Amino acid sequence: MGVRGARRGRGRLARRAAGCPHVLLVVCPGATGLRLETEAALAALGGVRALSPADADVLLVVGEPSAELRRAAEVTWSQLPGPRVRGVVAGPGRAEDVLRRLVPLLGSAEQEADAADRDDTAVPGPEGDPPGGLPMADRAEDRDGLTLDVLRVALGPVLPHWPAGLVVDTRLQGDVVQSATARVLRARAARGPSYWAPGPDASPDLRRGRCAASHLDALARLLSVTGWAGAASGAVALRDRLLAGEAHERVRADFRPWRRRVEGSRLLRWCTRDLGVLLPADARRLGVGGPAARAAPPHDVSARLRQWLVETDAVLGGAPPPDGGPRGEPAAAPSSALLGAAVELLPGRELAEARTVLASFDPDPDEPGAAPSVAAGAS
Amino acid sequence: MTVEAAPAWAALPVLAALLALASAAAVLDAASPGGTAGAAPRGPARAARPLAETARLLRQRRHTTAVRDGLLWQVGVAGPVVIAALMVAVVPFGGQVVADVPVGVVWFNAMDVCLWAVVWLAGWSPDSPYPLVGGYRYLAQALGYELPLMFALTAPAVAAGSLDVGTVVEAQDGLWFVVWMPVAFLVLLVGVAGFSLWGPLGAPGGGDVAGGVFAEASGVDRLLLLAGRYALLTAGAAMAVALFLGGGAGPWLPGWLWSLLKTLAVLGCLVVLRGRLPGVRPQTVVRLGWVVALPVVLLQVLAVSIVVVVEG
Amino acid sequence: MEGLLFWSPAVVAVGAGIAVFRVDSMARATYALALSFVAVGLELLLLDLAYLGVVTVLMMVMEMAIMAVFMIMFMMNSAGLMPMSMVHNRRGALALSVGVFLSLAAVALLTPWPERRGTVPEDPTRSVGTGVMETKMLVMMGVGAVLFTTIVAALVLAASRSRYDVRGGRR
Repeated sequence: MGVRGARRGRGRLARRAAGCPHVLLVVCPGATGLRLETEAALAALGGVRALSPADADVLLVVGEPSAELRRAAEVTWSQLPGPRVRGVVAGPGRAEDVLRRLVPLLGSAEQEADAADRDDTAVPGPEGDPPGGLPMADRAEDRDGLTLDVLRVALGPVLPHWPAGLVVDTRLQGDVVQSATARVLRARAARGPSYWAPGPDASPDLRRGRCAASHLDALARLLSVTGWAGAASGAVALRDRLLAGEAHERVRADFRPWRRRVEGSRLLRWCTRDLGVLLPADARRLGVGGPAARAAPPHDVSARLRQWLVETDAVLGGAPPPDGGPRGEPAAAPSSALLGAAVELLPGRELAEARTVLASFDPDPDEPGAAPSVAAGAS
Repeated sequence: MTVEAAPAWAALPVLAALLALASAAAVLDAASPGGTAGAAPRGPARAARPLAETARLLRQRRHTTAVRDGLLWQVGVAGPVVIAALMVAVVPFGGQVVADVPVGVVWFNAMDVCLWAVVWLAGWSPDSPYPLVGGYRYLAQALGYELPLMFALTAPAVAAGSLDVGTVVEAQDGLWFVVWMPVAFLVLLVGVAGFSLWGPLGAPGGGDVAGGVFAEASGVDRLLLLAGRYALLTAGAAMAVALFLGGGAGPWLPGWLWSLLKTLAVLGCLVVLRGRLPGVRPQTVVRLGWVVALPVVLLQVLAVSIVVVVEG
Repeated sequence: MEGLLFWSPAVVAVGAGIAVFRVDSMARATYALALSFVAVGLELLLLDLAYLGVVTVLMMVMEMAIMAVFMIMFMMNSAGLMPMSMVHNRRGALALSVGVFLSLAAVALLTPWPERRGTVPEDPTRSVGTGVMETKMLVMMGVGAVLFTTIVAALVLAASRSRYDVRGGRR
């Protein structure tokens, strides 16, 4: 095999490699519709959503980023190993074109050269500590009064199975959250009504469809966070069929067996019970409405999950959405209260529990007037 | 059937078999719903995913974090594959075993404990919070499944009166151990899933921490880690076959082929079960391990010991 | 050949032991110590004490992994890579450890070990065990089980609530 043979072999390798691009989405607040479109286009092309920047070939910004999100996207971009390409899905109907244009670029020789030559090791800071100019973690007392190190970790805005544009600044001891502050990044443009709760002038059929799809979207996120990818992909498939306009009755026929599978899983119940309990009194104090407030005792993650399943079934069966929107009265901006309730429950939780609790409330940062900042935990 | 030491060159075909079975596991994983292929279309294209992924990772640059411990990172990345190879070295294929260690069962156990060290290193050395959490999760849940796993390995050893894997295979002449020690068999499979970061015990590499110990790995490093995961699953399945499913025993076919087929079957079950079960958080693993699995598997060992004493 | 088999783990064991005090990272020190113990385990394999050798590897790697977690997660910078010295009281420690090493080595080399009489027993591990324990073997095995039960029970009593507060909210 000579030089030409080697080149041909490399070309074949590149073509094969471009067949399964791993794509990292940076979703802007207010861009839920675009995100759903992009996810569908990605699935149609045989792509996979990357879990971390190191796992990604393509960085796709979905929506119009604000200055802060643009900075986050820039940092993320510097962490893609390469061959790498990036693009923006700025408006409806463009996702597939953008992906189709970007993915072949991954196979080009320039990309290979860039990947080979780029030097991304951070410039080391001044000699001595802290190494590499990274800040040393602080110390603080833990639950038992021991002085232990704490680490500041911002969860989001680029994190898998995470609400778009949400950032939770945490202080971690080991993997236990000591305190948490949540904020929603500003959107660039003024926000209309949330994608999931179209205004009162929308047709009842559309509003019911969006409500059920919203619950399925939330369920997919929660199930993904608990590590059940199989069930999550089922929810995504049902959601996409609803949004594509399929008759609710037919979607419901397939929803039923899926629901039985999720409800029947004893392992899932074990892992979600007694977790993130929100008592009715606290729900009233925090102003939480919607399914989270209606969840049956013991008001834990398990109960909220079951409430979503029940309400999705009812709405698919023709009942109107109980509050006019999936999360509560849309005019009352219910996501602020949901986020507040979630953040209040985070301190003292280990990271996996914290993420499960947050996903079980599923605040929607798209809502206009979503809280700018909520904090909880020892300062 | 009798088991004896194979000539030194036998290490090569055994290594090839390990890699072939691990690749088969990757293909099956991609083809099954909820597997690694995500929402990719069904059909043969789906099953060919691992090939495309390998090509992709071979082209990808190795990404580095700002400050990291390069030496320990390499130990952590290469460790799982090497340890899987060291595990299968003591597993008999048919009537032959590469390394005829008289304490093969303990050897297997020692190797899986070495995984504690290397997986934790893979999580710690990039100096990045999510892999670090992944590394800690691995150790935390290892504390949950390790003791039940040890006693599950003890049961067949007690029944055979030897820690030699070959002797355990020979002792199953007539009746496979899985028939009268099913609990130990199941606990072993859970332990295998645990040390391979698999399915319900996959939290150390979970999506909620951006891929955990895999989060900062790219290119060849990632390829090695992923290959190591499938290879560990394969090594565990091979050991389960030797200890509980009669090793290479079976009619008509040669022994090594029976070993291979049985390993493939156990591997298939492990892979297919993954998409059907939700993940279990490490502290739940510890609770279930100590409160449920440990007492049950101890009773199993007691029952086995009584049978051995009574039978003489 | 036999000399090579003995000397290579021996050099690794001593070298890794020295490395524990030469490196400036908690993780490297811990795993250098683990490597040193693994090499000692391999030496035991050369004595035909297969069980003891493999168990040494198993126990020591497990111990070091747990130690690394406690030292780095609960006491040191959890972000990881702060350089730090593993040495306190440099002179005294050096004198003491060299002294101990030399005296142990002297004992090993200068003791008039008896010539082998008879043949190697079938199972040297068992012979070593009965040689050390003599008639107390059964008692020691019982003590082992009691110790194990005590550890588990103490853990259950001390950590009924667990680090994460499985039920209920924060304290």
